[in-house]
Amino acid sequence: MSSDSKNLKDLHFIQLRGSSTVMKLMQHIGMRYMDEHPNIRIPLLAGGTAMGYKSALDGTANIGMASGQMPPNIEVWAHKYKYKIEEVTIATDGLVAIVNPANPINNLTLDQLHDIFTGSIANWNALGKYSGPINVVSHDPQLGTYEPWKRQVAGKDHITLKAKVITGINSLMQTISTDPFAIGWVGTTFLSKEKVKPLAVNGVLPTYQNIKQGTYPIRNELQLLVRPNHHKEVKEFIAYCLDVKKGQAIIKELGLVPVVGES
Amino acid sequence: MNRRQLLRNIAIGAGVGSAALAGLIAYPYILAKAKKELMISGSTAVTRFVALLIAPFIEKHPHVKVSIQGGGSFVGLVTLENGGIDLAMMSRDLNFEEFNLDLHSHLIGIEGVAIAVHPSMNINNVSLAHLNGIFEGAITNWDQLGGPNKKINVYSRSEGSSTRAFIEDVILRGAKFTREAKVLDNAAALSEAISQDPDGIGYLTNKNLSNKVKAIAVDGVEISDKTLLLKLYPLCRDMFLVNKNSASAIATDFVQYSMSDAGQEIFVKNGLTQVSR
Repeated sequence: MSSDSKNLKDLHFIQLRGSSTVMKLMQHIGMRYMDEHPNIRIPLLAGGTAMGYKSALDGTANIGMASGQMPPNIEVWAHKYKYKIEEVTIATDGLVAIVNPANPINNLTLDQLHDIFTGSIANWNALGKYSGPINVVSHDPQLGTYEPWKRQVAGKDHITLKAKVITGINSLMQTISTDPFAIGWVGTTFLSKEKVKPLAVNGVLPTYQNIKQGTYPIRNELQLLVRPNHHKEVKEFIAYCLDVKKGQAIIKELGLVPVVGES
Repeated sequence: MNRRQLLRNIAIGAGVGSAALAGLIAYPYILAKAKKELMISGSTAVTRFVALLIAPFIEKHPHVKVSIQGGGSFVGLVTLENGGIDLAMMSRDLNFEEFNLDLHSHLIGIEGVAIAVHPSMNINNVSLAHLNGIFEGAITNWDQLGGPNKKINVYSRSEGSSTRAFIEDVILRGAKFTREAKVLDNAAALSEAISQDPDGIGYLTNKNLSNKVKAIAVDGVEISDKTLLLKLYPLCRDMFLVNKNSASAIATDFVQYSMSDAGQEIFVKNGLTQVSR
């Protein structure tokens, strides 16, 4: 409202764009930051991790948000235009396999997950007392959550081509909660209140402690991406995100594992 | 009968064919002309705001001819990709299918729509689902929302209002406004009407809010510049200008102008939330 936007000339804008997983953190950190820094405004845009890399590289955003590594096509493009960025990890998240609550299976090994997601096991009866086709649900490769799961679960193999590809969390949750034979995966921050069942991997659940201590095997680094020689305001914001008492404390409150402090 | 149909079809075919041929011949001329101009097209909602920049922009660049046209975000984007225009206006970001390393989408402003009631109404929050019910006419009494046992009076804007179109998109999702809604021609009249009706509810862009009405939270989030910037407040619409890598200098100048202090000041005066400077 008008009272909010007086002193237009003193304002600094730090635009962040990309991964919606990281954006969820930034909604909290950004609000606190704007309250503490009245001359800073933080516009957030989603669009996925690929968009995060692209906008940080070409400067359409001040900071890119990413929840996975740089997609190969963007790497080629960045090289061509000699674009460079620095990656700053601000939190670690666990990625968890989710199934319909009707599914009696509670635990799978990493090898079983590999076989499910690459398509070499196609029926639940190969895994336990449950029978029916395994309906694999995959994230769109432009979503950051795709890459770390593919890397850590499928390895050098491909996610099965039979997978249904979703482009957002809502359609993922919708599919898993309505299809008793479906299996997908999601970052742990999206788990609360959802009508889906998370599975343990090798007997370990993705709890805060298990992710922090590294006993839960499938993890994901949440990153901020900046161009070299960024502005003072951007530097200060990133320092805030990494501050044990500020950004890192908010990250912990949200159930993610901070990267700084408490070892 | 059959023959007549056949003849008619041939006639239509010939008509379409010659129109296409004429288009094909004219195309290079249109294209050649376009290169000396700045052509902008896309979302009708964004057009309303971007159009305000043209006069001051031309003042700075007297040799540039700017033409601007609505038609929708998607049409704008396709025309941009085909080389027909220099800048596309979009009221949403590029989606995954449209994402392309050759395209750059720039956020130029955010429009927030507030839900307004009379200041005496003891309701401070409404969910999107309830709003849907209220505007559709399925929820008709304030006591269904925890308020007084009074009939809800819905106020709406006339067809053609882009704020109305926004509410139809985001809240009604294709359903129609209740026929009981009182329709007003402009935001000032709507605000005035609600300020005089203790049981009224309506929608206003951020700019048209005053202390004569009360803006209530939606899904627990109050409307403010901060909640709009952080994507916490649900009734908001991002506005983008999109250009290609190969954009002309004038096109990039225009994008920069829209994001500069001068451009943003015009947007803010007309109700958008500032996003850059």
